[in-house]
Amino acid sequence: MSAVHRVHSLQNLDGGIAGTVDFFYSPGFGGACALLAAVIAFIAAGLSTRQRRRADEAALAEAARLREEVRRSEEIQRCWDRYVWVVDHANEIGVRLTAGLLSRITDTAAALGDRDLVEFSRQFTVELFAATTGELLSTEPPANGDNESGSEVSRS
Amino acid sequence: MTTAELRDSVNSLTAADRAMATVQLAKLIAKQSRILGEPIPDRVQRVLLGDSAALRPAH
Repeated sequence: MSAVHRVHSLQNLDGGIAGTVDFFYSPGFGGACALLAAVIAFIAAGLSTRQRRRADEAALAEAARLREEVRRSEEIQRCWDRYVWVVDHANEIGVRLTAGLLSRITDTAAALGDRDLVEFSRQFTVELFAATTGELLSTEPPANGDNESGSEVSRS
Repeated sequence: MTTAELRDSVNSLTAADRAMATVQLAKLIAKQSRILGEPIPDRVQRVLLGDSAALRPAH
Protein backbone atom coordinates (compact mmCIF):
# COMPACT_ATOMS: atom_id res chain seq x y z
CA MET A 1 0.00 0.00 0.00
CA SER A 2 1.41 3.37 -0.91
CA ALA A 3 1.92 6.18 1.56
CA VAL A 4 -0.65 8.32 -0.19
CA HIS A 5 -3.20 5.58 -0.09
CA ARG A 6 -2.51 5.06 3.63
CA VAL A 7 -3.09 8.76 4.36
CA HIS A 8 -6.40 8.62 2.50
CA SER A 9 -7.45 5.61 4.53
CA LEU A 10 -6.65 7.40 7.80
CA GLN A 11 -8.58 10.43 6.64
CA ASN A 12 -11.56 8.22 5.82
CA LEU A 13 -11.30 6.54 9.23
CA ASP A 14 -11.15 9.87 10.99
CA GLY A 15 -14.13 11.05 9.02
CA GLY A 16 -16.08 7.86 9.92
CA ILE A 17 -15.55 8.30 13.69
CA ALA A 18 -16.53 11.91 13.47
CA GLY A 19 -19.64 10.91 11.53
CA THR A 20 -20.59 8.34 14.18
CA VAL A 21 -20.19 10.87 17.01
CA ASP A 22 -22.22 13.36 15.05
CA PHE A 23 -24.99 10.74 14.70
CA PHE A 24 -25.31 10.46 18.52
CA TYR A 25 -25.96 14.20 18.68
CA SER A 26 -28.36 14.16 15.77
CA PRO A 27 -32.11 14.84 16.23
CA GLY A 28 -32.89 11.50 14.61
CA PHE A 29 -30.98 9.55 17.28
CA GLY A 30 -32.64 11.63 19.99
CA GLY A 31 -36.02 10.87 18.54
CA ALA A 32 -35.21 7.16 18.29
CA CYS A 33 -34.10 7.14 21.94
CA ALA A 34 -37.25 8.97 23.00
CA LEU A 35 -39.36 6.45 21.09
CA LEU A 36 -37.46 3.53 22.69
CA ALA A 37 -37.93 5.06 26.14
CA ALA A 38 -41.63 5.50 25.45
CA VAL A 39 -41.93 1.87 24.34
CA ILE A 40 -40.12 0.66 27.47
CA ALA A 41 -42.30 2.86 29.67
CA PHE A 42 -45.43 1.60 27.88
CA ILE A 43 -44.41 -2.04 28.36
CA ALA A 44 -43.53 -1.46 32.02
CA ALA A 45 -46.82 0.29 32.64
CA GLY A 46 -48.67 -2.53 30.87
CA LEU A 47 -46.94 -5.18 32.97
CA SER A 48 -47.60 -3.24 36.15
CA THR A 49 -51.26 -2.79 35.26
CA ARG A 50 -51.62 -6.46 34.46
CA GLN A 51 -50.06 -7.47 37.77
CA ARG A 52 -52.28 -5.06 39.66
CA ARG A 53 -55.34 -6.32 37.78
CA ARG A 54 -54.44 -9.91 38.62
CA ALA A 55 -53.98 -9.00 42.29
CA ASP A 56 -57.31 -7.14 42.28
CA GLU A 57 -59.07 -10.07 40.63
CA ALA A 58 -57.58 -12.48 43.18
CA ALA A 59 -58.68 -10.22 46.04
CA LEU A 60 -62.18 -9.93 44.56
CA ALA A 61 -62.40 -13.69 44.09
CA GLU A 62 -61.29 -14.27 47.69
CA ALA A 63 -63.82 -11.72 48.99
CA ALA A 64 -66.57 -13.37 46.91
CA ARG A 65 -65.57 -16.79 48.24
CA LEU A 66 -65.69 -15.53 51.84
CA ARG A 67 -69.09 -13.89 51.25
CA GLU A 68 -70.39 -17.15 49.76
CA GLU A 69 -69.02 -19.12 52.72
CA VAL A 70 -70.71 -16.77 55.20
CA ARG A 71 -73.98 -16.92 53.22
CA ARG A 72 -73.81 -20.74 53.18
CA SER A 73 -73.12 -20.90 56.93
CA GLU A 74 -76.04 -18.61 57.66
CA GLU A 75 -78.30 -20.63 55.38
CA ILE A 76 -77.26 -23.88 57.10
CA GLN A 77 -77.88 -22.29 60.52
CA ARG A 78 -81.36 -21.15 59.42
CA CYS A 79 -82.04 -24.67 58.16
CA TRP A 80 -81.03 -26.17 61.52
CA ASP A 81 -83.22 -23.62 63.30
CA ARG A 82 -86.15 -24.65 61.07
CA TYR A 83 -85.47 -28.31 61.80
CA VAL A 84 -85.44 -27.70 65.57
CA TRP A 85 -88.69 -25.74 65.30
CA VAL A 86 -90.35 -28.50 63.27
CA VAL A 87 -89.29 -31.17 65.78
CA ASP A 88 -90.49 -29.05 68.71
CA HIS A 89 -93.85 -28.28 67.12
CA ALA A 90 -94.51 -31.53 65.26
CA ASN A 91 -97.36 -32.49 67.58
CA GLU A 92 -99.02 -29.09 67.02
CA ILE A 93 -98.75 -28.86 63.24
CA GLY A 94 -99.57 -32.48 62.49
CA VAL A 95 -97.71 -35.33 60.83
CA ARG A 96 -98.42 -34.40 57.22
CA LEU A 97 -97.29 -30.80 57.52
CA THR A 98 -94.29 -31.99 59.52
CA ALA A 99 -93.42 -34.39 56.71
CA GLY A 100 -93.77 -31.60 54.15
CA LEU A 101 -91.52 -29.27 56.11
CA LEU A 102 -88.97 -32.03 56.69
CA SER A 103 -88.94 -32.65 52.96
CA ARG A 104 -88.15 -28.97 52.31
CA ILE A 105 -85.46 -29.03 54.99
CA THR A 106 -83.97 -32.18 53.47
CA ASP A 107 -83.87 -30.58 50.01
CA THR A 108 -82.20 -27.45 51.34
CA ALA A 109 -79.72 -29.41 53.46
CA ALA A 110 -78.82 -31.60 50.47
CA ALA A 111 -78.36 -28.53 48.27
CA LEU A 112 -76.12 -26.97 50.92
CA GLY A 113 -74.19 -30.22 51.35
CA ASP A 114 -75.05 -30.58 55.05
CA ARG A 115 -75.13 -34.35 55.41
CA ASP A 116 -75.64 -34.19 59.18
CA LEU A 117 -78.89 -32.29 58.82
CA VAL A 118 -80.17 -34.78 56.24
CA GLU A 119 -79.25 -37.57 58.65
CA PHE A 120 -81.05 -35.88 61.57
CA SER A 121 -84.10 -35.24 59.40
CA ARG A 122 -84.09 -38.86 58.33
CA GLN A 123 -83.91 -40.04 61.93
CA PHE A 124 -86.93 -37.95 62.88
CA THR A 125 -88.82 -39.03 59.75
CA VAL A 126 -88.14 -42.66 60.63
CA GLU A 127 -89.51 -41.98 64.13
CA LEU A 128 -92.65 -40.46 62.64
CA PHE A 129 -92.99 -43.33 60.20
CA ALA A 130 -92.60 -45.81 63.04
CA ALA A 131 -95.32 -43.95 64.94
CA THR A 132 -97.76 -44.01 62.04
CA THR A 133 -97.14 -47.70 61.40
CA GLY A 134 -97.29 -48.62 65.07
CA GLU A 135 -93.62 -49.49 65.24
CA LEU A 136 -92.53 -46.68 67.52
CA LEU A 137 -89.00 -47.86 68.19
CA SER A 138 -88.41 -45.23 70.83
CA THR A 139 -91.12 -46.73 73.03
CA GLU A 140 -88.75 -49.51 74.00
CA PRO A 141 -87.88 -49.14 77.69
CA PRO A 142 -84.67 -47.18 78.13
CA ALA A 143 -81.72 -48.84 79.85
CA ASN A 144 -82.24 -46.86 83.08
CA GLY A 145 -85.81 -48.08 83.41
CA ASP A 146 -87.48 -44.68 83.00
CA ASN A 147 -90.99 -44.37 81.65
CA GLU A 148 -91.14 -44.61 77.85
CA SER A 149 -92.85 -41.23 77.55
CA GLY A 150 -89.70 -39.61 78.89
CA SER A 151 -87.53 -40.59 75.94
CA GLU A 152 -87.00 -37.66 73.66
CA VAL A 153 -86.99 -37.91 69.91
CA SER A 154 -84.98 -34.77 69.64
CA ARG A 155 -83.79 -32.03 71.87
CA SER A 156 -83.93 -28.37 70.97
CA MET B 1 -90.91 -33.71 71.37
CA THR B 2 -91.29 -36.89 73.35
CA THR B 3 -92.36 -40.22 71.94
CA ALA B 4 -95.59 -39.97 73.94
CA GLU B 5 -96.41 -36.66 72.25
CA LEU B 6 -95.52 -38.21 68.93
CA ARG B 7 -97.80 -41.15 69.54
CA ASP B 8 -100.65 -38.89 70.71
CA SER B 9 -100.24 -36.79 67.58
CA VAL B 10 -100.47 -39.87 65.37
CA ASN B 11 -103.35 -41.39 67.32
CA SER B 12 -105.42 -38.25 66.70
CA LEU B 13 -105.36 -38.95 62.95
CA THR B 14 -108.12 -40.76 61.11
CA ALA B 15 -107.18 -44.05 59.46
CA ALA B 16 -107.15 -42.43 56.03
CA ASP B 17 -105.01 -39.52 57.18
CA ARG B 18 -102.65 -41.90 58.90
CA ALA B 19 -102.30 -43.98 55.72
CA MET B 20 -101.61 -40.87 53.64
CA ALA B 21 -99.12 -39.62 56.19
CA THR B 22 -97.40 -43.00 56.19
CA VAL B 23 -97.01 -42.98 52.42
CA GLN B 24 -95.76 -39.39 52.52
CA LEU B 25 -93.23 -40.29 55.21
CA ALA B 26 -92.16 -43.40 53.29
CA LYS B 27 -91.46 -41.28 50.21
CA LEU B 28 -89.49 -38.84 52.32
CA ILE B 29 -87.44 -41.61 53.93
CA ALA B 30 -86.70 -43.03 50.48
CA LYS B 31 -85.51 -39.62 49.30
CA GLN B 32 -83.35 -39.10 52.39
CA SER B 33 -81.93 -42.60 52.07
CA ARG B 34 -80.99 -41.92 48.44
CA ILE B 35 -79.27 -38.66 49.44
CA LEU B 36 -77.35 -40.42 52.20
CA GLY B 37 -76.66 -43.53 50.14
CA GLU B 38 -78.26 -45.72 52.78
CA PRO B 39 -80.58 -48.67 52.20
CA ILE B 40 -84.31 -48.02 52.35
CA PRO B 41 -85.85 -49.85 55.34
CA ASP B 42 -87.85 -52.93 54.44
CA ARG B 43 -91.19 -51.67 55.73
CA VAL B 44 -90.73 -48.39 53.89
CA GLN B 45 -90.06 -50.37 50.72
CA ARG B 46 -93.25 -52.32 51.21
CA VAL B 47 -95.30 -49.16 51.76
CA LEU B 48 -93.84 -47.66 48.59
CA LEU B 49 -94.68 -50.83 46.68
CA GLY B 50 -98.31 -50.47 47.77
CA ASP B 51 -98.40 -53.25 50.31
CA SER B 52 -101.52 -52.34 52.26
CA ALA B 53 -100.52 -54.63 55.11
CA ALA B 54 -97.46 -52.47 55.69
CA LEU B 55 -99.74 -49.46 56.19
CA ARG B 56 -101.67 -51.05 58.98
CA PRO B 57 -100.46 -50.47 62.54
CA ALA B 58 -98.49 -53.43 63.82
CA HIS B 59 -100.51 -53.46 67.03
